[in-house]
Amino acid sequence: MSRRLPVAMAIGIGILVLLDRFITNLYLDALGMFFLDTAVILAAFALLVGFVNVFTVHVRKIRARRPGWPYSTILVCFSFSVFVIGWFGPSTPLLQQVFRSVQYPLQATVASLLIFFIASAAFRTLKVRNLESLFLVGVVVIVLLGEIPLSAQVTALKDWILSVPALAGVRGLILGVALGTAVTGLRVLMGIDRPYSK
Amino acid sequence: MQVIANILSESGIEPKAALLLAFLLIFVPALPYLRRRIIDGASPQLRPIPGFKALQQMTGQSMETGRPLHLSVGIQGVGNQNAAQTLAGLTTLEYLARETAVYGAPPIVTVADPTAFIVGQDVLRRAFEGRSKTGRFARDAVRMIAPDPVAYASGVMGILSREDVLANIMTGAFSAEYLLIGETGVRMGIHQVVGTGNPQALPFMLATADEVLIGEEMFAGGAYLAKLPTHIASLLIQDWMRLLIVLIIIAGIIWNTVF
Repeated sequence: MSRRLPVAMAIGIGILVLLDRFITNLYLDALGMFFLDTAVILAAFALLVGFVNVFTVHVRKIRARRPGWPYSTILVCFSFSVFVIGWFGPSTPLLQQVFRSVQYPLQATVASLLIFFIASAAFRTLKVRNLESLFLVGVVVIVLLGEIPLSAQVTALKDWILSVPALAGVRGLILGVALGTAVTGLRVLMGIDRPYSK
Repeated sequence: MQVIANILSESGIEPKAALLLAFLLIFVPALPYLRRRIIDGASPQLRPIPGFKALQQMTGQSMETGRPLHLSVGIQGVGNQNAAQTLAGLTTLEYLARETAVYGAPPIVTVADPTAFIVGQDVLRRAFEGRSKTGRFARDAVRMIAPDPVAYASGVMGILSREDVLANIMTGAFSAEYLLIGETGVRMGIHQVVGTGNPQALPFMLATADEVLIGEEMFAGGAYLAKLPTHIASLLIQDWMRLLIVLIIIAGIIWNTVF
């Protein structure tokens, strides 16, 4: 019973929500919306559990003085402070100021590292070692040159590369992922695969 | 298939949705049938995927050296359209956890989404219970870093830099923030096996990782690593679906060209 109940619930609710996606029916729509709203509430509680985990992991690290424990101290202090500030609502001026002055600049700073990492990865990757890498470097050069108003032919070739072979490859990739997603969903809906229970 | 689509349309289902449902319904009986055939002894030929071979080697080295592997299941959870990619990462986690439950260090698992955290902790716990090693299960083996992708990448960069991980395994939904983690792994000289279904992140993975699971290869973990009959049957179903779609596309091209 303890094994069958979660499986039965998962299959039943999953099929209901799936049918809601395909069939237009007033009662099915209401039921589907109810389950989706329930999932959102569960996800919010999961976020709380995750927050407790963050605290636990870093407090243990501080106690054991493992490498990087000063960073964990800063993280714990700031997390707790923002938690307390945010307790009074998401639109409080102080919380908005914290996000504007701390969160967004820090996010932008770390994200800006991407440009340097892209250059570093490109420098390491674009080396002619064999025929395949020669082909890759050639295509990269054509696409880069096609972005500047150097030659109409090069720009046309660049457009063709991006809109025909590259797009075909991406579409094939997306199709494969979609099929994998569909079959994974089928496995879970049929109760054959149970990541939530054994 | 058109007959099924017509029946479904008359039931109040939209035509496009009806065709999609009909396409899926064709393969519903095939899955348990193929699963039964495989359990009874059929062994379909699977092409070798270097990424999974490397993953098995890394797992063996982790057991020998006692150094943990870092595993990420992606920046998404199990409640959105990328749930399948997260489940693929959790399948890899289950394999790693089962293998290292008895010997070696348990993997360090990082997640960005709270729903993935809950399921990941459960997968890890069940893997240890399955090997009767519940005492070795530590709750903080699964770490929730941050829901924000950039913050998550920063946290993982710190883990790769400070903790003595043997290899970095990342299978799931990722985007551009992967490059921050990938470059850190390259700088630290850590072997990396990664996979995603997002075309935006794949170029970064190919530039930084030693082995890449491209797109749907990520979903084959259960078949290659744990040899699960259900997952092997799923690969066959995917091949049949792909073949059917290709035939429909070719037929459509010929139809549009000729008529």
